[in-house]
Amino acid sequence: MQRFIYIISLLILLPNVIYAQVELDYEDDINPYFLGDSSELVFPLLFDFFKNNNDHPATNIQLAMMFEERYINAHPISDYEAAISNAGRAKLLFGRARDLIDDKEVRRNAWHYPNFTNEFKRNGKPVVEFEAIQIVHQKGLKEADSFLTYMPPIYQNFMKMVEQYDLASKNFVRINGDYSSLKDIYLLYDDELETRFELIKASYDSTLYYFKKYKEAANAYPPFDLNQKLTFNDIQTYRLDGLVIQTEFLVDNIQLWDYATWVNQVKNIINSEIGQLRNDIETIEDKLENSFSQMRNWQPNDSIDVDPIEKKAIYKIRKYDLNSPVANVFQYKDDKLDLLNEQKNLSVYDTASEISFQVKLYSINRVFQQTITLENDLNKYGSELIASNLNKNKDFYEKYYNGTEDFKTYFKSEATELLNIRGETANRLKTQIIDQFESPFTQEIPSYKGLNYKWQNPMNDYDSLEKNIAYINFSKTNVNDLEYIGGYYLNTDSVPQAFYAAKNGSKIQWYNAVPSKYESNSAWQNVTNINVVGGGDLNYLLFESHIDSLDFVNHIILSNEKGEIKNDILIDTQEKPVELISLRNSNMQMAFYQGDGLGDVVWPSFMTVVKFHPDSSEYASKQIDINGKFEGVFQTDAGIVLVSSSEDGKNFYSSLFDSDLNSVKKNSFSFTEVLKIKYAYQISESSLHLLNERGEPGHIVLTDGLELRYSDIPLSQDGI
Amino acid sequence: MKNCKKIFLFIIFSLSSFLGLSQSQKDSLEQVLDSIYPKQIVSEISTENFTEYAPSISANGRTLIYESNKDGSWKLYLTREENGSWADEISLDSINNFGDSVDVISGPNFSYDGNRIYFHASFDGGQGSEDIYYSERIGDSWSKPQNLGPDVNTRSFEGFPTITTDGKTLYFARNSKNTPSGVSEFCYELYVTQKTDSGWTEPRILPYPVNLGCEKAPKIMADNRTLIFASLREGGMGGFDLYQTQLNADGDWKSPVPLQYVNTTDNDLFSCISASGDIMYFSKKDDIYSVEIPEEYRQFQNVTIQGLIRDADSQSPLTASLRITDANTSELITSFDNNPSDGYYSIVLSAGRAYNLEVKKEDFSSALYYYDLRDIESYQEYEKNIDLFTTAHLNVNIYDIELYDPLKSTITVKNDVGRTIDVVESDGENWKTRVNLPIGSAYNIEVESENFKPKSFSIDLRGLILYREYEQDIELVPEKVGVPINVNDLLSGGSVSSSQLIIRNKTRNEEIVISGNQTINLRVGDRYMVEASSDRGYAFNSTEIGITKEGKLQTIDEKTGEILEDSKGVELKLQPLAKDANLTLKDIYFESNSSDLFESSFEELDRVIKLMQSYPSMKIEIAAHTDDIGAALYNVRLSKERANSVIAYITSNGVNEERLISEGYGESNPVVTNDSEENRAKNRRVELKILDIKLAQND
Repeated sequence: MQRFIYIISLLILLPNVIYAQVELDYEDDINPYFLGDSSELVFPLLFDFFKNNNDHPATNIQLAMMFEERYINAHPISDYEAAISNAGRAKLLFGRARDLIDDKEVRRNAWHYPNFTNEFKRNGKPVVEFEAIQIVHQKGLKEADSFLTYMPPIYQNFMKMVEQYDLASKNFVRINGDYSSLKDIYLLYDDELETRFELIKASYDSTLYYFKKYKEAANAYPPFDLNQKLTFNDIQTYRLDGLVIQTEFLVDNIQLWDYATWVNQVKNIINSEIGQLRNDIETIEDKLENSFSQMRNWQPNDSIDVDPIEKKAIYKIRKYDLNSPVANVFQYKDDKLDLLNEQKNLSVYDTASEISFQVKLYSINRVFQQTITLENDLNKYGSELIASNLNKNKDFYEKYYNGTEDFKTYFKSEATELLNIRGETANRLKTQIIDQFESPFTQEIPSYKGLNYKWQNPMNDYDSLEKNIAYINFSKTNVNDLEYIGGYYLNTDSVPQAFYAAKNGSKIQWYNAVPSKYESNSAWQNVTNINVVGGGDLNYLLFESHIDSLDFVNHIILSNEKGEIKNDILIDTQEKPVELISLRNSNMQMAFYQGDGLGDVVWPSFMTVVKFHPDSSEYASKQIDINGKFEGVFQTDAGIVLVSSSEDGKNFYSSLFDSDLNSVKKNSFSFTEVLKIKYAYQISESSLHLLNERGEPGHIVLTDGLELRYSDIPLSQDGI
Repeated sequence: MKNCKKIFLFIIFSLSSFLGLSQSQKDSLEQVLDSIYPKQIVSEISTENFTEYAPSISANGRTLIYESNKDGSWKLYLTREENGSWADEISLDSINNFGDSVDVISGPNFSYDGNRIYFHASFDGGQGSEDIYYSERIGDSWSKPQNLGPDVNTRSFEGFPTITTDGKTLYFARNSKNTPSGVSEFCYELYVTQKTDSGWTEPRILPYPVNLGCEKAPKIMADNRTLIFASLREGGMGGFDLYQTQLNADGDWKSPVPLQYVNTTDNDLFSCISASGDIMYFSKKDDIYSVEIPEEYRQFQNVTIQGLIRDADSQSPLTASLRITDANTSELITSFDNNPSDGYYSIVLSAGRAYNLEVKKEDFSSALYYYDLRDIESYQEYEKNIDLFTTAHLNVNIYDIELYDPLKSTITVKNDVGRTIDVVESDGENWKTRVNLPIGSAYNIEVESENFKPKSFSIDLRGLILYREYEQDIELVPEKVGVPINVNDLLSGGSVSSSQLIIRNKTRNEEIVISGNQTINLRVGDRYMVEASSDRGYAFNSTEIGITKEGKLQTIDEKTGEILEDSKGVELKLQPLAKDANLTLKDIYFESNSSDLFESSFEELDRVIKLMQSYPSMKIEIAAHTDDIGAALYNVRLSKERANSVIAYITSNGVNEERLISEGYGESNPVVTNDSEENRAKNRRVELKILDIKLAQND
C-alpha cells in the first residue's frame, strides 16, 4: 500500500517534468552518411528518423533498398524469418516510395538520391532522373512480391522435411540408446516399440514426401536455384550406422540414412523368426509338462519321453538371448526328467540281492552325480536371472509361470527338491558302502584247532581281552576265493599277538602267528591292514611295540597263499601304520604311517608314506604334511588324495599329491558339528566317500579336485 | 492489484525515459524505486574505506570476481558462495602479481563456462595504456595473464571486456571520440570483435543508438543477444545508468531502455546476472550491490548444464569440443572447449527451445544429449558428467552354426591398412568374447577356429561413436569331408539290409543317426564312434574313426588293430546272429588284478543288453580271457570272476540270468602270442558266444 502512495505521489510530480527528446534531422544527421558510411551505421539513424517521419519520400526508398539488400543477401532457408520479414518491409516501403516519389520530388530533393546516379553537378548536387528511381521501386516491388509469394511454400516444405528427418533420426538414436542390441529389440518388441518404429517410418516417409514438395515449390521459383538430390545409406551395423547429430540439408547431395528399410527388415525378422520362436517355446513347454505329468504317475517299465526337446531347440533360443531363462528352464527340465527317471529306477536296487554291489554303486552314483550336476546348473541358471530381462518372454511367463515374479522363484523352489534327491541318493550310497565294509563281519564264525574266532571291526582293536579267542580285524579275498584274515589274540601273559590266516568259506585253511622282532612275549603286536597283491598273495602291515619300553617296530610282511612268508620288510619309522594300498597301474604298494603310538598325545600333522615292491626289501619313504589326523586315502588319475581331520573333529583337510608325493593342491572344510569318519571308499574320481558308521551322521563326498560334493553335516564355512 | 502496480510502473519508467526530470524530482523518484526494488549492499565483500567494483558472476551464481583497491592498488579478487553467503575473498595472485604493484587491474569478466577471466590492465609490455588480457583456470588456480594481442589492443585504452558464451564475440570499450559536450565524466565507446581461426577481427564500433558518445562497462548476457551497458545519456536518473539493448536477427540493436529497477542518481555500472536471471549485481558508489530483478523484467529463463568431461576408464579429465545446436532448426547456438585442467564445463541455455548438446574429441567416443527446455518455467541446474571412451567393446559371439555351441577361436583384429593390432582368443565356453577396439579407425576382424571355415567382418569406428558395447554373431561352418560308410555281412561280405548307423562325435556333443551304406559328411579334426546295427538278425559292431586335420580318414583295422591313416571309407562287418557265433566285446576294462569293471565298459555292455532285449530267445556265453602274466590257475579264476562281473551288469539291467553263462579261460586261448604289451592287451578280452537263438522270419 505504501508503494502505491509513492506511485500516486509520483504521478503528481510528472506534469512538472521537462520534455526532452533526441531529434534527428535528415539533412544534417543522416544524408551526409549515405555516401561515406556503411549501411550498418546509417540504418539505425535512418530507421529512427523514419519512426517519426514515415512519409519522407527518400527515407522510404532508401530504407526499402536496405531491406531489399538484406533479404536478397540472406540465405532464404537458414535466414528465412529475417529474409521474409525484410522482403515484406521492402515491399511495403517500395510501395510507399512509388506513391511518394514523383518527378517533382526528385528535382526538388535531388540531394536525397545521390545513390541513383553517377552524375553530379560541380557543387556536388546529384543529377537524378525520376525514371531511374521509378525503375528501382517498380522492380523492387515486383521481386519482393514474388519472393513473398514463392518462398513460404519452399521454406515450409524444406523445414518439414528437416523436421521429419530429425524426428526419424532422433527416435532411431533413442532406440539405439534404449536397446543395446538388435536381439534385444527382437525379443522386447511390444506395442510401445511398435509405435516408435511406426513413428520412425512415418517420419522418414514424410521426409521423402516433403522433399518432393520442396522440390516442386522450388522449381516454380527460378531465382531459388535448386540442384539438390537425395542419397540413401543402408543401416548395416546396429549402433554404428544411422546415428545422426545434425544432417546437412543445404548441400547438393543430401545423405540420408534409410530408416524405413531398417524398420522393415527388423519387423520382418520379428514377424517371421521370432514369431516362430515364440510358438516353438510354447510347444516345448507343453511337451515337457506332458512328460512331467507322466513322471508323477511313474510305474516301472513306463515309456516316458525323458528327452522331449532337441538340443538344437535350446540353442535356437540362445541365439537370440544368450543367457535366456527360457532356454535355461527348458534345459533344466529336460535334465530333471532324466534324473527323475534314473532316480525312480534306483528303488529296484534297495532290495535286489541279485545285482552286484559294484553295479549298484555305479548306478546309484550316476544318479548322485547327475543330481549334483543339475544342482550346479540350477545355481547357474538362478544367478543368471539377475542379469536377464524377463520381459523378453513376458507372455510366456504369464501363461506358464503366473508371471515373471513367480518365475523368479521357480529355480529356488527346485533347489530343495534336488537337495532331497541328493541326500536320498547319498544315503543309498552310504548303505551300500557300509554293507560292503561290514559283510565280512557278518560271516559265520570259523574255528580252527579249538581256537575260537571273533569278528571285530578294526576300529575296535584291543577292546576285547579274552584269552583263547582270535579277534579278526581284517578280511580280503583273492580271486581264488581264499579269504585272508588278520588280527590278534592274547598270549599267556595277556599281551596281544598278531596273526594272519586264510579261510575258505567257514573253514580255516591255515593259521600263523606273526613272528616278532622282539623276544618271545615281550611285544604288543597288531596287524593294521592287509592287501591282496598280484598273483593272489597276502600283504599286511605289522606293528609291534615293546612291552617295557617306548620302542616300536614296523614290518611289511608278504605271505603266499599257503601262509609262507615270502618277504619281511622292516620299516624305519616310529609312527603307527594306518593304511596299505596298491598303486594304480603299477606293481608297487604304498603304506601310510602316522601318530606317535601313544594315542596321539600330540595331534599329528605329518605322516610318513612308504613306497615298496612286495617282492623287494628296498623301500622309499617320504614325510608329507596333511595338516591333521589321517582319515582316508584315494587314488585317481589326478593323483593321490589324502584327507585328515583336526583335533576338534570339525575341520577337514584334503590334499592332492602327485605320484611322487609332491603337494599339488589343498582345500579345507569346516563343519558345524563333529564329523566322525570310519570308512573311506572311492566310487569314481568325483565320488570319494568318507563315512561314519551306520545310523550315525557323518558322510562327506569329495572330488579329486578337492571339492565337497555332499555333506550331511552343514558347513560352517568353506575354507579355513 | 499486481497488474495495477505493473501499469503504474510502466508509466513511470516510460515517462522517465523520455522526460527530463529535475534533480530533486529524480531524488524523489529514486526513493520510490528504491523502496520498491531495494538494493542490498553485498556486505561480505564490501569495505568501508576502500572501493569494491566491477563484479562479475559465474553462470551458476556461486563464484563472484571483482576488483578492489583494498591492497593499495586495483587488484582482482574471487569469492565463492558458501551456505548462502559469500566466503572470504581469494586474491587472484597469478594475475595480481603479474605486473608492478602500481598497475591497474580492472573490469574483470568471468566467461560463462567459468574457465576464463577477461580483464584490462596496465601491465608493461602491452600495446597501449591499458590492454585487455585473459587468464585461464587451471584447477583451483589461474594462469598468468595473456595479452589479447594487437588485433584488439591498440596504443589507446581497451577495457571492460565481456564475452559471449561461446567465447567468440568480445565486446569492450575504447576511449570515446565523440564525448558529448558538457560531459565531464571519462567517456568510452563500445566495440565488438569476433574471434576467427586467424585471430580477432578488426573491432567495429557499435552503432547508434547503442553508442551515443559516453558508454562504459558492457556486459553481454547468456543469450548472447542482450547487452547491458552503462551510459551517460539524456533521460537518465543521474550519472551513468544501466541500459539494456538487444541484437535482432538482422543484426540491428534495439533502442536501449534504462533499467529503472536498478538505476539511481549515482553512477550505476557493471551489471552482472547469473544464469538464474533473478539477481543483478552492480557497482554503485564504492561498493557492490545486488538487486532482485522484478519478475516482469527477467529477460530469459535459463538452464545451466555443468559437469566434468572425463575418460571413462581412467576418470582423468579430458578437454573436448562442445557444440550446442537448436534441436529443431539446427542453428548453432554455441561451441567451445571445456577446461583441460579438470574437465569442467558449464553451459547456459535459454529456456523455450530444445537443444542438442554434442561432445566430441578426436579418437574418443562422442556424446549426444537432447535437452528439451521448451516448458522450463524457472531456473534449473543440470549436473551431467560426461564420460568419453577411447575403446569400444565389441562382444563377439562365435558359435558352431550346426550345434550352436560356443567355439574356441582366434580373433584377429586388423586396422584399415591390414596391420594386425590385436589377437584375442575365445575360450569356447563363454558366449561373449570381448574385443577392445580403439575408436578412430576402421577394422577388419578375422575369426578362425581350428577345423572351421574362417570368417571376417568389418567395423568402422571412424564416424560418430555414441555407444560402447557392440555385438556381433559369428556362425562358423565346420570343415567336413565325405566318409563312405558301408555295413556288410561278416560272413558273406554282402551288404546288410536295414542297417542303422549311430555316429557319436567323441570330440563334441553331436549324434548323427542314418541308415547304412552312404557317404556322410564328418567334421575335420573330430573323432567318432560309429555303431552299426541291424534288426534283421545281426549283432552290433562299432569302430572308432577320426578325421585328421588334413581331412584324411583314420580307421582301425578290425583284425590287426592297426591304425590306418588314409582310409577311403569305413567298413563295418556285422556278425549274423546264429548259434556258436562269436563276438568280441570292445573296450571292456577291469581294475588291475580285480574283477571290478571300469565304468567306461558299460557303453559296450549296454549294447549287449539292447541286443539281448531285441532277441529274447538268445542265450549267450560270456567268456573272459587274460594274458600270460601270473599263475595260469590264478588267471583262470580271475577271468571267470571278470566274466561273472559282466554277467552281473547285464542281469542287473533286466536280462534274465538264465540266458547267460560265464566262462573264464585264463590265458589258454590267446588271439595273438603274448610277446609284447600290445599283444597282451589284445589277449585280455571278453567275448560273447551265442549258445542259442531263434530268429523270426523277418530277422
